[in-house]
Formats: sequence, structure tokens, C-alpha cells
Amino acid sequence: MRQYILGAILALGAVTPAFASEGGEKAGLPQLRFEDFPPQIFWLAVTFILLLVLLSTLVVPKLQGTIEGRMAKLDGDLAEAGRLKDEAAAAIAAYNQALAEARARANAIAAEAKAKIEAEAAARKAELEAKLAAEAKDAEARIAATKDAALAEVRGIALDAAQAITAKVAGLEVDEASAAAAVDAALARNG
Amino acid sequence: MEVDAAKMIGAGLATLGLGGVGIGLGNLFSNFVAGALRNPSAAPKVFPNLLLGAALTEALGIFSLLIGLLVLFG
Amino acid sequence: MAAGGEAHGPLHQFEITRLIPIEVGGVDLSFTNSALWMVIIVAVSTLFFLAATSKASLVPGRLQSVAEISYEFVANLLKDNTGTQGMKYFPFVFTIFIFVLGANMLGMVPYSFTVTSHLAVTATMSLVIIIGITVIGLIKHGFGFFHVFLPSGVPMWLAPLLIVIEVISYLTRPVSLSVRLFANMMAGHTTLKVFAGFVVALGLAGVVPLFFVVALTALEILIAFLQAYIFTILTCIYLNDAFHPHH
Repeated sequence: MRQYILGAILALGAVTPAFASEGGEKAGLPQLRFEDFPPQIFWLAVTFILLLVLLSTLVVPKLQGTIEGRMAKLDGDLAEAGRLKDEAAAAIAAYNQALAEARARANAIAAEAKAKIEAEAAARKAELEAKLAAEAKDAEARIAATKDAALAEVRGIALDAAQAITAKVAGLEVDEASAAAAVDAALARNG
Repeated sequence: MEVDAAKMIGAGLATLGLGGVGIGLGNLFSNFVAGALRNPSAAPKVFPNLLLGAALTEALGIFSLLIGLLVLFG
Repeated sequence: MAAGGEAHGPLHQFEITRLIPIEVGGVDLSFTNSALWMVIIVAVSTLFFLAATSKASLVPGRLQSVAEISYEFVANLLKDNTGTQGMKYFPFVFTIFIFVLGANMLGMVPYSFTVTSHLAVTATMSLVIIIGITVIGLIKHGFGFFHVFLPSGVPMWLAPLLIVIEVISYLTRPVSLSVRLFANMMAGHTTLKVFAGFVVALGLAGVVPLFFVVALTALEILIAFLQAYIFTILTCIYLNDAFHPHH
């Protein structure tokens, strides 16, 4: 695009001095005037070498030093930061370990306490049960004794009653042994 | 005078070579834009190559421009 | 360009005028306006860098950042293209970049002279670069440097043709390197001058080309940087051939 415009423009530029060449301009492209080449090349060499010497002695080492110094500083700072980070990580790990230990100990204590309480409760329960069982046995024995006594008393009463009834009803004088045999037989028959 | 006229015509003809450069640069940039839209993250990486390609392509056009200049002024 | 008494053609800005005529042994070494601007480039860039690096602080100020950015810019360019062994030539490449950039940028100052718009300057620089690189390559690799002309893995029957092509492309390097820079600079400045001529010629309607001139000036500043960049990166790429001829 630029070059299209340029082509037209250059044609224009070529025509212009042809029509109005009183501007003191020599014909032709100034860039192709070979008598102007030696001074340009000479001064290019002089100035370029001057710039090369100035830049490479004064500027480049200083810039390089600054940039490398900054790099070294940054690397050092980064290493320091990494070291601090590692330290922090170690501290966190230690803290976590201590926390885990404490938790484990707390759990152990709790378990121990629980076991102790359970054991105590079981012992007390067993004791209570044993006591209750003994009391129940006592009571049973007492009941059995009372029942035996009551049964014996029933036999005596029945014997007396049987003798009295036979005496009263039949007028018989039943001796104690046969009455007892009859009562026993009746008791055995009834239960 | 005929030589001058022929020079003008010749210089004009020489600048026709710039049309090819126009096509080339158009291709270059359209492909870059298309590629950059497909993968925008890779675009900065090839941007120097784009400039290099544009400069190399443009140089060819400038050669024909130079021929034009030589015909006109040489 | 019928724009008044002081009007010059668009090519007038490229005229060489002899400020101090000097002649040594029949060779014209006059101090020209071109030489004056070369001296100004050296002075400006040296003073800039001296001011920028005068107090090297860890956290750079504005000037120092610019200096460091330009340093790292060229250093990365060189490192990316030639590897670390190319860093030996860093001062030379850095000087090329600063010189070309300074010439292009100072050329954008009104009434200044654009040193790089002259074929003599760019051709000398590129010839020195290419010949220097060839010498470096020959010293480093001896005869092996000629592998530049024969890429590895090419079938033998294709070799003669390819060698011819590669030799031609190698020989056109200084031409393209110099012509690119000079033609770009010359083209841009001529365009600017022509549009500036339109501003005067069109009177009130000249506002329209004035906008063009402003836009073109911005574009030219971009081109000025870009061409310095291209010149430097091509130097780096060519220098890489001297280090690694087997490509």
C-alpha cells in the first residue's frame, strides 16, 4: 500500500525538478551520487567505531553489572524466601505432630477413664446381684421353713381334729398312732 | 524526450512488482490474525516471526521499487 | 510541488552538503551534514546511556529502565538466535541497534538528516556485517563453513542446483539488508514530504492531508523502530550461520 503510493509519489518527485529545476538541485537520486560516498563511509566508520568503543567500555559493562547484580540479589532473596518457607513448613509439621500426639493422649485417657468406670459399674452390679441373690435365697429358705412349719402344724391340727371328730361323731377312742397314719394317708392323697 | 517517457513508463511498470508484495503481506497478516484468533496465547510467541516475515517480504517489493528508482534517476 | 519560494522537491532532504571540506590524499573526506548527524547520534545515544546508568540502582528509575530494556531486548534477540556463544559479539550488535535506531529516530526530527536513508551508509554497514560474519565462520569452522550452502539431507542430484541458489541468496544478503533499510527510510521520508507539500498547496483543505501527515509520522516512527529491529535480528540470524553452518 505504502509502496503503491510511493511509486506514484516518486514519479511525481521525478517530474517536479524537471519542471522547476532552479532549486539548485542536481539531477538524479542523491543516494546514488557516488562522489558523496567516500565522506559518508569515512565518517560512518569514525562515528560507528567511536560509538562502539563508548558503548562497550562505558555502558555495556555497567548495564550488565546492574542487571546481573539484580539477578544475583533476586536469586539470593528467592533462596532466602525458600529457606524461610521450608522452616515454616517444618514448624507446621511439628505443630501438627504435637497436636496429633496430644489428641492421641487425650483419647487414651478418655478410654482409660471409660474402662475404669465401666469396670467399677460392672463390679458394683455383680456385688449387688450377688447380694440380691443371697437375700432371695434366704427368703426362699425362710419361706420353705415357714411352709414346713405350717404343714407340720396342719398335720397336728388335722390329727387333733381327726381324733376329736372321731371321738365326737363315732365315740371311738382312736389311738394317736392310727390317727396319725390315717391323717398322713389322707394328706398324701390330697396333695 | 522519448527516452524520458520510456523511463517513466518503465519505472511505472517496475512498481507493478509491488502488487505481489501486497498479496504476500496480505497473506502473511491474514494468516497471522486467523492463527492468533484460534490460539491467542501462542500469538505473542510468533509475533517476531511475523515482523521478520513482513520485513523479508517487503524487501522483495523494495527491490522492484529500487529498479524503478534506478530507471528514473540512475 | 508549487508551494512557494522555499519549496524543494521531496528528494531535497537527502542532499549531501559539505559543511567542512576536507580532502586527504585526493580522497574527499569532507565533514558533511550526514557526518554531523552521525556525530549527533553518537553524542545523543552516549549521553542518554551515561545519564541512564549514572546511578545504577537496584530498582531502576525511568531512564535506567529504558536503558535496561534496550539492553535486554538486544541481548534476548542475540541469545534466541545464536545461543550463548553469540554473546561475545553483543557490544557490536548492541551498537548496530543503537546506531540504526538513533539514526532512524533522529531522522524523524523535522529539518534533520536521516543518515540511514543513504545507500552508502547502509551498504557499508551491511557489507561489514556480512564480510565479518563470513570471516568469523571461516575462522571457526574452516572449510566446514561452506556447509551453509548445502543444507544437510538434500539428495545429491539436487545439490548443484541448491548450491547455486544458496550462494546467490547468500550474496544477496548484504544487498537486501542495506536496500531494505535505506529504501524504507527514503520511502517514508519522501512520502511525508509529499503529503506535507499537499498541506501547503491545498490551503484550507490542507487539513485533510495534515491528518495524513500526522498519521504517517506515527507510522514512520513505528517503521523507524521496526527497521532497526529487523536490521538487528537479521544480523543475529546471519551471525548464527557463522556458528552453526549445518542447518
